[in-house]
Amino acid sequence: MNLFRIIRREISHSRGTFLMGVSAVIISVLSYIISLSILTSSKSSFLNGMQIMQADLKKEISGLEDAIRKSMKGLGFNIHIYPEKQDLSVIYEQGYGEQTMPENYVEKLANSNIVTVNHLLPRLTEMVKWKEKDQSVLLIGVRGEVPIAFRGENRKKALIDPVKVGDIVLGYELHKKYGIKPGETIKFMGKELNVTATHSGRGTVDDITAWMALSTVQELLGKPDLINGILALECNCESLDRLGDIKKEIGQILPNTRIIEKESKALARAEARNKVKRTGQTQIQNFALSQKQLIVNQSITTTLFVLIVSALSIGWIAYLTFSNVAARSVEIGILGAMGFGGTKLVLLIISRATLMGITGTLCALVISLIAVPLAWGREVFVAVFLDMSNVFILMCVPTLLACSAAWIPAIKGSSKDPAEVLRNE
Amino acid sequence: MSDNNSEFTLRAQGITKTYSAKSGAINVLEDIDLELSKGDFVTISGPSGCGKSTLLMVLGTLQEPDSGTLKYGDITPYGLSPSGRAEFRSKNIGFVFQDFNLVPYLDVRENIMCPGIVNPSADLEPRSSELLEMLGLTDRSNHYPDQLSSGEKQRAALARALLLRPSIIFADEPTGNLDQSNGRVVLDCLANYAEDGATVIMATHDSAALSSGNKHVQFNEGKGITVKSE
Repeated sequence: MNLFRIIRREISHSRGTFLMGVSAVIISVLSYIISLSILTSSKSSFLNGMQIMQADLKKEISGLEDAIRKSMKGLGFNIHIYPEKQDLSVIYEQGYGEQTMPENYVEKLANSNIVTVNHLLPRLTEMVKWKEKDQSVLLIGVRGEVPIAFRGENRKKALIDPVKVGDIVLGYELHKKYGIKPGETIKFMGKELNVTATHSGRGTVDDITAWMALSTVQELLGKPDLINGILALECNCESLDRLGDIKKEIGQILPNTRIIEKESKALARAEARNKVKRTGQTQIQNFALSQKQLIVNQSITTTLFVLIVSALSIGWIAYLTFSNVAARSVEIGILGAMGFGGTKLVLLIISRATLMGITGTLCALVISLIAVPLAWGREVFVAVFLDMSNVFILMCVPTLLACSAAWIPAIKGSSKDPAEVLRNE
Repeated sequence: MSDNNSEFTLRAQGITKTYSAKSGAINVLEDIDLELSKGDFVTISGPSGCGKSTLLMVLGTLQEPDSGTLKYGDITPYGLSPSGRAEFRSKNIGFVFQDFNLVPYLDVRENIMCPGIVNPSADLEPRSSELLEMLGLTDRSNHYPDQLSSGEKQRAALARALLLRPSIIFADEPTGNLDQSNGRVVLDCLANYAEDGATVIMATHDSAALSSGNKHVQFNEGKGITVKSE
C-alpha cells in the first residue's frame, strides 16, 4: 500500500471529474497548438509570397535589363568620347570625326576606377572606297569591349562582339548587292578577308558599313595606334547632373577629350527599369509591412485566445480540485488523524491535478500529431513539433499550470484541522 | 503494542477548551485532569454536547486545548510541530469513529493498510490478514465500503486502527450505529486490546459499552468530570 495506489484508486473512483479536468487541459493545449500552427502557416505563406514576389520582380528586372542590352546593340552607345579638337559639325555631317586620339586612351579609362560609364568600345571610323567593287563603305575598326579592370568578375556582359583579325562583317547593302555569304573570302582594299557575318537591313548607314578588327583598319587607313572615338554606355545610376558627373570623371582621366551624351531609347528603358524596380520594391515592402501587421494582429488574437482558454482551464481545474477536496474532507481528515502530514496530503491532492495535466497533454499531443499534418501540412508540423522551445512548453507548462491551479485548494485542504472535520461530520 | 512508550502514561492537567459561536463563547472543557495507564479501558459518558468528542480530540492530539498540558510519558505532543505531532500520532494512536470513516474507493484490506503508508514495514500484509481473520472480514477483504454492512464497516475501521499496534485507541461512539451483536464484537475486541497492555478510551452512550471499561469518566452538568475506577 502506498500513496500512489491511493491516488490511482481515487482517480478511478471519481473518473468523471478527473476526465473533466483532462478535457480542460486538452482544450487549452490544443488551443495553443492550433494557434501556433495558424501563426506558423501564416508566416510560411508570407515568406513564400515574398519569395515569389521577389523572384517575379527579379525576373522582370532581368527581362528589362536584357531588353536594354538588346536595344543597346541596335541603338548604339549613348556616350561618345572624341578628341578635344573634334568639330562636332563634322560628326553630325558625316557621322564620324576626322580627329584622332591615341588608342591607349581606352586603356587609361579601363584601368581607372571609373564608375559613371560602362562598356568601353574604342573604334576608328572612316568612309572609304571599296575599290574592288567601286563602292563607298563606312569602315569601322573595332577591337571589342575593353573590360573595366577594377570591376573584376562584376563587370557587365559585353554588348558588342569583337571582330577578329582577318575577318569582316558586312552590312545589308554590301552583302546583298554583291551576293556575298558568310564563310566566303573577299578582297577589300587589297586584303583577303573572311566574311564571318552579314547583317539584315536596318535602314541606316549600317547597311553600307563594314566592321573589321581595329588593327586592320588602322593599317588600311595608315593610322597606327589611333582611334577617332570611344563609345560607352553611361551607368544606370541616378544622379541630378548625370552628364556633368560623367564629363567631370572622364575629364579627370582623359583631359584632352570631349564627351557627348546622346538620348537613346535604351536610356529610357533603363530609367523605366529603375522605376519598375523601385515600384516593385515598394510593393514588396508594402506587402511585407501589411503581412507583418497581419501576423502581429493574428499573434495578439491567438495569444489572447490561448490566455483566455488557459485561464478558464486553470479556473476549471481549481474549481474541480476545490470540489474534490470538499468532497474528500472527511477522508482527508481521517488520513490526517492517522498521521498523514501536510506534505503527504498536499501531494495526494496535487498529484491528481498533475496527472490531469500529464494525461491531458498526452491526449492533446496525440490528437495534434494526427491533425496538424492533415490540416496544415508537414512543413507546419515540423516547425511546431521540432522546435525544442515548443516541445518544452507543451511538455511542461500545462502540467505546471494544472499543478498551480490545484495548489491553493491543496494547501487549504491539507491545512484544515482534522478535528474540525471529524467533529462536524 | 508500540514499543516506543512501554511505560506509557497519559497525563492531562487543567485542560480547557472553548469554542466561539455567534451566541457567545461555549466552554466545552473546563480544567480537566486525567491520568491513564497501560491496560486502562476508559469509557466516557455524558449528555450530548457535553464535550466527550472534544476531549477525545484533545487527548488524541488532534485539537490543541486553549490551556492545560497533555503528556504521553515524557512527550508533550502539543509542544511538537504539526508534522512531528502527525508522526507521533501515526506511531502511537489509533482512532475509531461512529461513522467508520472508511475511504470509499479503497477495498477493506487497503483501508486497513492505510496507516502503513505513513509507517511502512514488512509485516503489514500478514498483520492485515491477521486482523481480517480476527474480525471475521477475510471473505470481505476485496469489498468496498459501500458493499459492507454497518458492523463490517466498523470492524474494518477497528482493524485499521489496530494495524500499527498503537499504544492508545480513541473510540468515539464505536457502537452507536451497530446492532447488539456487532457492538459486542467491537467492544470485546477493544477490551482484549486493553488487556494486552494498550489503553482504550471510548466515548459512548451505550450502557452495554459503558460496562466494558475498567475506568469510567462521567461528564457533569457543570462541565467537570468524575473519574471512577472499578
